Amino acid sequence: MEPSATMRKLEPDVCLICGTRNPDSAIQCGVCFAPMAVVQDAIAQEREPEIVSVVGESNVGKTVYLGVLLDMLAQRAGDFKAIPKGAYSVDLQQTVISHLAHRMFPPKTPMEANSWYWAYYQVLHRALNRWVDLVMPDMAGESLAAEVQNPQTFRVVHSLLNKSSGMLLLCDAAQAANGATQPDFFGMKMLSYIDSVLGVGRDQRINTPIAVVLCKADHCPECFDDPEAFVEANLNRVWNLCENRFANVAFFAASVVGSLGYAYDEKNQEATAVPLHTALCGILEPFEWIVQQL
Amino acid sequence: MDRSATLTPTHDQETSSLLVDHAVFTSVRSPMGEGYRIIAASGGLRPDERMETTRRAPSHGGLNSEDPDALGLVGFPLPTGRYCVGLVRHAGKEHTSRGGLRVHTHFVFLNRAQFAAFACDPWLVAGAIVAIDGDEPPLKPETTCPQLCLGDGCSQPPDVSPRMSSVEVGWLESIVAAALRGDPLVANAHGSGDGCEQLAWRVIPSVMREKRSMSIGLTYAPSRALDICFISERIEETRRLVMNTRTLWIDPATPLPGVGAQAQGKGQASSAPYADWLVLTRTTLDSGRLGELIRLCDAIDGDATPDGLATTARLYDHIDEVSVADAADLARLTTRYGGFAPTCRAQKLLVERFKKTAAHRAQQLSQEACEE
Repeated sequence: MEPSATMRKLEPDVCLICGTRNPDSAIQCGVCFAPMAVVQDAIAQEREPEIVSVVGESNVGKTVYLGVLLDMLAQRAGDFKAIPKGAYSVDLQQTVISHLAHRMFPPKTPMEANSWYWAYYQVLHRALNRWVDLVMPDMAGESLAAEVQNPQTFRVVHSLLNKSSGMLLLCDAAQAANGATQPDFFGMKMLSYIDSVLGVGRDQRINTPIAVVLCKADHCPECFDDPEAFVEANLNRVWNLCENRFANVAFFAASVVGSLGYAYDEKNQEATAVPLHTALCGILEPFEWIVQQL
Repeated sequence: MDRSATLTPTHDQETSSLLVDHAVFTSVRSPMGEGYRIIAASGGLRPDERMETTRRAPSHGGLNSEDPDALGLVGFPLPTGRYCVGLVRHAGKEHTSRGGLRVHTHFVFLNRAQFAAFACDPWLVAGAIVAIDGDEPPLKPETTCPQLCLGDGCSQPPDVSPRMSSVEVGWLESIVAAALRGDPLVANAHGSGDGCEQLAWRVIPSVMREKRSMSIGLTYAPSRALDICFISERIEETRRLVMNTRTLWIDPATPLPGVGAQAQGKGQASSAPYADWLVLTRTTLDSGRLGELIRLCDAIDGDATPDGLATTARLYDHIDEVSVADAADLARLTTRYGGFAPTCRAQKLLVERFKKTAAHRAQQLSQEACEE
């Protein structure tokens, strides 16, 4: 593992995400609340990590997707081998897997950035014989939405996306297939925000790899056949914006839950979705594509 | 922890005259999306106020207690000059099958005069919100809703015993000391009596209260960047979060260094900023003159600089001094305050009281001289 030639000089008290200098003893950055362990681990690796951000609206499944993905990597799925750097990197996958094992969805990610999970993994793509260090935060959909709506509301989102080497944009395929416009509009807002954050000229297209992932694809299995055609038909605004402004986009479909039951509380007249079992499908492919592009 | 006892409804709607902007921040499903956001707001809310509110509002798991009846309170100044107070509670189950309870915050936005009508006390504002919302927090998404009537205001002091132990006094003084200096703090209120947090807030000079943010009953979150957080649950977890940051941890068992020691040196000059004021705070609390201290702090609507508060504290002491002064001291003190220009309402009231006391003392001395 050679130190990266392009690695800037990292300092243990300077946040990797926002560049703020923190007291030596700080556990989290005082401004963006990223764990300071990330930069300390990066220094130990002598290699600056790549940040891959998972974005999408609230309840689209970012936490579940990221947790399951990390667990697959940790179990050497596909061509990958992955080593978590620090126990904090394992918290997310543990939370997701243990909840799913108990037939529950994991708790909502709070908007407070100090409560977000962060994962720092050293990943080997065996086919490419290439190691990549990845930092993947699990951001709250509401914080993303608030920042997209009013930039500077959550500056950590701006810093993260600005530093991201690749992004996974998660869209709710089930809603889109039912004709809801919300996933299309949110995706469009998110891409437009990314466009403004990365700020290339109007005659240029953004090269940062973006994987558009159709989540909850078990609700509309047809999107597995041709995700791009599905996006073009059902998330047309997103598709058009991708074509106009982003040079490096690929489309994928993914599903975690195999079958869903509904528990009905007669007293409160509330139905609760219960993930009866998991049937992972299309989780690794978007990530593999992103790693290939880095 | 249920703090409902401290949030007493304060007014009937019929007597209302304070019209304020308001907003509801919670998680509901609507055609515009789902998740935590401002779901309803009155028309006067400005974009920067929306941003600040969204940034500081508690979201999933934001209340310190899992109790369906748990209550919390958050208050913070806004860049527009208004002060925002939010009443936080649970409003049924989280609707996305993700477990836990939905956190609901009803925010009101008060201008300086409106906040002053509630003695700059978020507890009293929350009482007015409770009186309007009742047990059913509003969950209906609305693009624009009408303003809210909060009644006529209220300056009722917290209902606590005026006799306090030295531990309680040390805790209160530590909070005041940190708040005056502008240091962010987390105060452990576990085991303290009902109303002690409100009391701690009310013994901070009013003009400072307008500038400080606060919370009670909420999970401590550094990202909310609040100045004064009262917690009474998850103590160890919170203490670990605060450790090694610039936020102070104030525990009844361990008051801030220097607190208490200053009181022992009453009458002696101290170079520490706010030392005179803190001595006044401690001696007034020690002697059980709680109502007097609260009234004094409520009246400090201007100059709260170290010099300004030292002047107010000296003026307060001189009222006692002048009431037993001999002729020479009476002349000296009367001259001192002859052309005194008050910089806040408290000083104005104290000078008036000083002059009355001095006049009374002069009369007494003259009578004594005649008798001799």
